[in-house]
Amino acid sequence: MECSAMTVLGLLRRQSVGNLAAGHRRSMVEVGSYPKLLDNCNGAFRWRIIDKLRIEWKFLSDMPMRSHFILLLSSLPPPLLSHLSSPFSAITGANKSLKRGENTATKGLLCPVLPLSLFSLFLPMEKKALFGNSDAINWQLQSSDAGELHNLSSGHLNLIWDRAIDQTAMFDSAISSHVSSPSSNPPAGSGGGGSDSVVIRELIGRLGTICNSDEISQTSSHYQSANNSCYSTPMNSPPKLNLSFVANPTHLPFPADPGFAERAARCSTFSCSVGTSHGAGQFMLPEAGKLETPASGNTKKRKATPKAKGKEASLSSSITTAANPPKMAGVEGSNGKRNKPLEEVEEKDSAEQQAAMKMEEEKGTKSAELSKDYIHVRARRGQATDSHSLAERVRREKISERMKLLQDLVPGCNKVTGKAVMLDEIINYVQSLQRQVEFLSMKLATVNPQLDFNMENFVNKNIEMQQNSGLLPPHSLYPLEAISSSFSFANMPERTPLMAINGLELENQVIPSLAHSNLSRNPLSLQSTCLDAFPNTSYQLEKLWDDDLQNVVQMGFSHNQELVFSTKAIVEGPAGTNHMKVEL
Amino acid sequence: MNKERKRALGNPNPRNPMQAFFFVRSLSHKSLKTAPFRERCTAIRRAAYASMARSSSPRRAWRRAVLSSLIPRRPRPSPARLPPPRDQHDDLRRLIPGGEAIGDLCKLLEETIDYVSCLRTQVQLMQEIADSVDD
Repeated sequence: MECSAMTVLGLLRRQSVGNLAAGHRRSMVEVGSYPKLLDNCNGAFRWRIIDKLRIEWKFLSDMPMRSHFILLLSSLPPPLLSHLSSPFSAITGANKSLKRGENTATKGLLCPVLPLSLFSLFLPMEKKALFGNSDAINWQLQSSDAGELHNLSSGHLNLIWDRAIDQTAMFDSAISSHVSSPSSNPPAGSGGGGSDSVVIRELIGRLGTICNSDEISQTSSHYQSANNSCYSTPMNSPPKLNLSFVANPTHLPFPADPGFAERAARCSTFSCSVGTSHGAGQFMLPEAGKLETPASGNTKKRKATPKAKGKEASLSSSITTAANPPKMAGVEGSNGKRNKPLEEVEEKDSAEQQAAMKMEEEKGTKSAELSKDYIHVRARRGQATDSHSLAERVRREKISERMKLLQDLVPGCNKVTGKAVMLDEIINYVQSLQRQVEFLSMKLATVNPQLDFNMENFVNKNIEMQQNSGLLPPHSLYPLEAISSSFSFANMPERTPLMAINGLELENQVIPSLAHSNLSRNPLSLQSTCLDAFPNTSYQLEKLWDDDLQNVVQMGFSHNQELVFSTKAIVEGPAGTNHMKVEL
Repeated sequence: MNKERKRALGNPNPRNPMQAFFFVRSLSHKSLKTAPFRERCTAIRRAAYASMARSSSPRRAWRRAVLSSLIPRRPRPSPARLPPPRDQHDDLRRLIPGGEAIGDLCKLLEETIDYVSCLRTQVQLMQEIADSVDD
């Protein structure tokens, strides 16, 4: 139950976070993934994640971000919340007040939330009825629950409709997240499903308000394209939807300005995910057929889509009164653009080929065309066009590209012409570097006993350089599945001791109480023995962890670039998190 | 440490801070301080290569080669492979760890680029550390 709620939260977070600036969004996506991880992991890992959250909180300076964060934290299990130290006490307090609705400010937030969430539950039910799907027990249960709750909070229905009409975008997000919940949480028993739905509904409702507040300022158009791409994936490959829903970050930001296409897509995602999770093929098929049309990008089909939309509009009441064909065209345009250049290239290629090889047989041209499709090389006049020579040309181009890169890398290689000489230069350089490493290691060995290192310097300088140059390191954002797989790996029984020790080791670096100790004083012997014992796993996992932590830290700095002074203050301050950063 | 020395220390490659992190961490290993000079030399050299390898991409052949050379493992019975044909790039192959198994020049150059950039960073890092200690 917890897990599903958290997944929903994570997804929702990403959607609502889509409204924020790019840098912010990114970090929030990271944070959004943590609660889900928290659920999967054992003690030592929980600590790490909590610490990450703690860092994040430091860097969340503006209010909407903090409110996101609070909502995120509300999903944490209570024992974990109690572990969170000073910076979080404020959050937990806010969280409590949110739950009780005592605070006047939060009251205002809470009130419109519940009905909306209820409504989001009603809609699937309606659709289900309309499409004649009868075997989705989960939905039935949820909808019945919704009915009960609705009775309790009576008189909200009119409000619901009005608001839903106004804020269809939020609505979308709520629905889709809701829809995604069964996929992440394969329907357990009927009794459990009910309680699940209540919890999820609450969470969705709470997050919904924030989506709402963010929507006002949001007018971006590129989200639409992202949206389009995301929707095309479930349409084209329904069975993969669950995975893509969790793993694909591009589709997560939801547009504020809900166009026509979206609504259609919304229905499609609903139907697809339900179909995949419940195995209801009948339900999925007609919808999928309908909705593949907008994604295909054909002009003929484009005309056909409004009809389908009209149907859906009527289904989902008066929300979709105005049809926006131009918007549709715009959304489809991205697809069309994708397709067109390829076609043009192919056409050009074929034309050129015909000019170049009139004498050749048809079979020959066909095979060359095939090879061209994959390699995309154009033969000039007089060049050989058979597949072998084309491939060879590609290889040579690649090699020359690499050579250019090496030329930039190796000093004194710029003036040299000729591959052989350049290779010699490269060899010399590598040898000299290796010799330098040897020499420097000797040099360091002579002075090593006196060495007392402080990673502070490295990282401080690091940060300064980043801020000065304005360059940010290209983060490889670890996909969720990678991290979760590592977790599952870690949970394997025979690896647990290793992981526990590793975790302890990292914890030592991270926990603020030990933060004042230098690295030289850190207990590393444990870890090194581990490394010797299980080189592969520990390397991988540790690297993963380190990088992850690293990402968090650097992200913090990246999205605080405007607030350089404040970050510097944090760096110089004696807080525990300061040392966390620094030690990474 | 005084302030000047602190300023002298800096990560030469801010894009890959893990390399410096690994290296400094292994430098501050306890056993390094008590070992005799000769062992310390080799240990630091190994630490240098290990930090390079560990901070690099896991797909790199040289990374795998370096790590497997640093960590003693059980020898596995592997099917005997024909070495790639000898050609003008053999010198380069011998220099890049794990390069002898790479037949394609294109891939070899790719590895070389990665390896050289890592090595250069490592040298700069060690140089910085040595300078900061010398001062």
